[in-house]
Amino acid sequence: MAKKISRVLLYLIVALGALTMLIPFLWMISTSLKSGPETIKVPPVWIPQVLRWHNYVEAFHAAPFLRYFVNSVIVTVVTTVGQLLTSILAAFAFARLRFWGKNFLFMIFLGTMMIPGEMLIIPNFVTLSKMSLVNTYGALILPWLASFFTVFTLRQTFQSTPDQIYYAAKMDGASDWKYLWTVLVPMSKSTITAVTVLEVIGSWNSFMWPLIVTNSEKMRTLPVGLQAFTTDAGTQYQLLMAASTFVIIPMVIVYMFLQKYIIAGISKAGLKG
Amino acid sequence: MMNEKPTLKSSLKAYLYLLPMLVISVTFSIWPIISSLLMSFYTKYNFYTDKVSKMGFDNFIYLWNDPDFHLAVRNTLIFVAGVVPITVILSLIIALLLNQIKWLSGFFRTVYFLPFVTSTVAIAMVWNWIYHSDYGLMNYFLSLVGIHPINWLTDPHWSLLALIIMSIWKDLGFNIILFLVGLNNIDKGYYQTAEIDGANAWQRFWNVTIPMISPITFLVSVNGVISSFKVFDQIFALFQGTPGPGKADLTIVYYLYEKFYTEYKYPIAAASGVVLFVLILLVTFVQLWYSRKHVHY
Amino acid sequence: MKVTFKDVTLSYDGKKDTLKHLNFQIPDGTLVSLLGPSGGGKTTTLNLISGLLPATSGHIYFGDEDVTKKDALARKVGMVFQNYSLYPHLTVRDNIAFPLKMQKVKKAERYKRAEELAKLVHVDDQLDKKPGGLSGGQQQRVAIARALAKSPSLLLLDEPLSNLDARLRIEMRQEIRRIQQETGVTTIFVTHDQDEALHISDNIMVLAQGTIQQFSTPTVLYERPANLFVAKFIGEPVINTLPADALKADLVSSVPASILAQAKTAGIRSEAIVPFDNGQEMVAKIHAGLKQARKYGREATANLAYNGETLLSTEMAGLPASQTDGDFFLTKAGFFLFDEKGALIFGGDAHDE
Repeated sequence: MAKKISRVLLYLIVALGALTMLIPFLWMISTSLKSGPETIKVPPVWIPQVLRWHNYVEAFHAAPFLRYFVNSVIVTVVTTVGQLLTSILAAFAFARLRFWGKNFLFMIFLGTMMIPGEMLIIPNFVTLSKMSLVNTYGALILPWLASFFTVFTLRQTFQSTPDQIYYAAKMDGASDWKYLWTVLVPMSKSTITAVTVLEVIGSWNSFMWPLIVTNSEKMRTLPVGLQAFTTDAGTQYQLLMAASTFVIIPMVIVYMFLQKYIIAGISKAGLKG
Repeated sequence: MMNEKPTLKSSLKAYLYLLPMLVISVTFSIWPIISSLLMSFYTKYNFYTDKVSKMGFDNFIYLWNDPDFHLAVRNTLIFVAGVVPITVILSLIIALLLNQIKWLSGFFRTVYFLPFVTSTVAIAMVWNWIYHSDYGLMNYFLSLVGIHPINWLTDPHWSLLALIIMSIWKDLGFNIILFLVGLNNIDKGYYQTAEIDGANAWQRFWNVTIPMISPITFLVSVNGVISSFKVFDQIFALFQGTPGPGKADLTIVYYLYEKFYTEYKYPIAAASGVVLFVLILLVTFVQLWYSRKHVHY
Repeated sequence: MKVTFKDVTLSYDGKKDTLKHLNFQIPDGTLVSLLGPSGGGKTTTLNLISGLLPATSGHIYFGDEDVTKKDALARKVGMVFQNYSLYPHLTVRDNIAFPLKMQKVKKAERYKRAEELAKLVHVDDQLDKKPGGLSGGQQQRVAIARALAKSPSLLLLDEPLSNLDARLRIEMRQEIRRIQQETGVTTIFVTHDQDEALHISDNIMVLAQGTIQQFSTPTVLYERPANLFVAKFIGEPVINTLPADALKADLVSSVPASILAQAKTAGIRSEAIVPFDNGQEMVAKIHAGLKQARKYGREATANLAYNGETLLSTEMAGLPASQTDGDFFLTKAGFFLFDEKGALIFGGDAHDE
């Protein structure tokens, strides 16, 4: 009996916690479907009398969200793919190839991971201004094409594949390049998916850097555009919430589909690092 | 193939593999680190011509004397001290509870983790609305238990707390996942042995779980401290491009942003970045030193 | 392909030699085992043959060709690793065909060859599975097929059976023998299990401390060990050893005095101690105490107490249970004397030559 009560209590606490986590999302969606007057009703209503889906259309047209969306997609895709390529190559070199200065280089990279990225903003901005890249995709993408975090995570995985597989492939006639792409990369699919998803989420949600290097509306990414939209929308919370929803939704979908990889990736990278 | 020393040929080949990553990281990480360290000592600097005419400690002296920077450091420390311990303890508790249940556990994990994948800016908009003093959900809930409305976002006494609450909410999921992995990795044999040795559930928790999970606790705290020191996005979005009422939410990175982006005082901004780095380093070392005694690997 | 080592030395760190001055020749078409304790140098030797490991000095020949400077790929060896090292993301068919794919053999052709090989190793019903879905024995078979796919000059197997359970091990060692005989490929097989080596090899090379202790057929290895190490290493149960001094008084009539003077250690196989004169040639008759007589299956063993030493015999069938001591005979076959350095000076057929 006591066991049953504690079981019920356990679920009650967990469910209550989960509800707390969900409330902001529910409140966001609820508000996004309300009419203006409904948003300022006291006590608050959770389910609007009429579901105003039109708020989404209105919000979408109130600012160039399509443009922001396209920018975000371009930046996220190019950053992720580019970073993955540079990281796979570098991780393979660190995991498998022999070269002078390997340990030294590795220590340097390890050390730079300690440096807060915010310190790099000013010099990077200066560099990009000199290259006249401010307010272009170049500025949004270039600095993020290399990630030590991704290199380290991949290197761990590459190193944990048995040497003998490498030797076997070599004896089977595979060059290093062939081995990397036909054996090692397919074998490391789950780690690669994990770092990819984490990078997609990080890139999609990044704010401070796009805020700094974009100064025209047409280069803004979604988070920056959304932030700018608040000034225009003022107190029209139903539109603000609708806009917030469509910024959040894509990553929630990505998350729902690739949840197990994200969690595996976090535990792998988190625990090793 | 085995037992081979690097040769000129093998090194050249490896550097070809490393090249793309090296080019990017030297340009956008390694060089900027050096450059921003140097810049923090520039006392006369022209951004347009990139000319440095004098170097010295003036920027650090400026920070030392700037009440705004004092405020930023103070707020950052309060924020870290407010967010990290609560996040660690709460996420450990939730992970322990989640570890006990089977039915729906996947669903609950998904829900707790959801804030982690959402855009900070977008979700800060939502919290901005939740904190609305007249129509916000927070004050409505508080009114149900008889608490008068609080001006969460406009009263300097409350605005830092508002930021802390939102940050804890957002960070929980990530740490819960790490703790769950850690709990999963504890060999069940330890519990069985402890049980045979006569330890009750509470004793097992203190003598098995807590020591076995300590490396994760350490990791979560270090992670938490580092990321909390760098808080910026939440503030900018929650207070709509201001550092809170009466600068009550001005943090070091926000200070850096203002000096750099709105006041064009690059060297001072760079110096504040260096201070941030040193502070993070100091706190991490203290944690490391503490962990030597209390973390069991 | 015939393999010849001429004065091959290997040193990992440039100071200590892991393998010292190896000289041997493996005849074409044979199955040779490299046998020895772990750390003895057998896998290192295999890696030298494969070309995965470059020799520090000396020369290696395949047939008449000097391959010392060639890498594993150029030597065209097929290798099966201890953990099979199959590509987990490829099907059995693609695993076997992988070396051919690397040689840019056309798809239809390489799949045809893969299927033939799968048939040879009896995995033709598993072609579309991935290695994860196969048993250990099947993975082993696939690994052999993959190694054979490129028609290798040599087939090298590095402890291929050590991950299998006892029953499967026996099955697979017969399979390896069958496949070797069907294909006729020169096969070199590393193992630390003497039973395995004795059962499948044409020749066995015993390696310890970085040198070849003996390289000969299984029969010679057992009946005429070149030294004390080989005598102790080969044979189950382990050969009885005792100081030669303890036996000398009983040997004067059968062993020349000059040999007896050099003898340091005597080695007596457990089946060489018999209770009756059964007509075999004997070297000595000894008087010993009898204790711990046991009988399992068709084997009867007993420990004999002799001059303060304990000797194990496996030929004690037919002795009355009550007997506590008696005279026993040592047959000439299975009796050896070794000198101070451990070299064989008496026994086997040595004195006949």
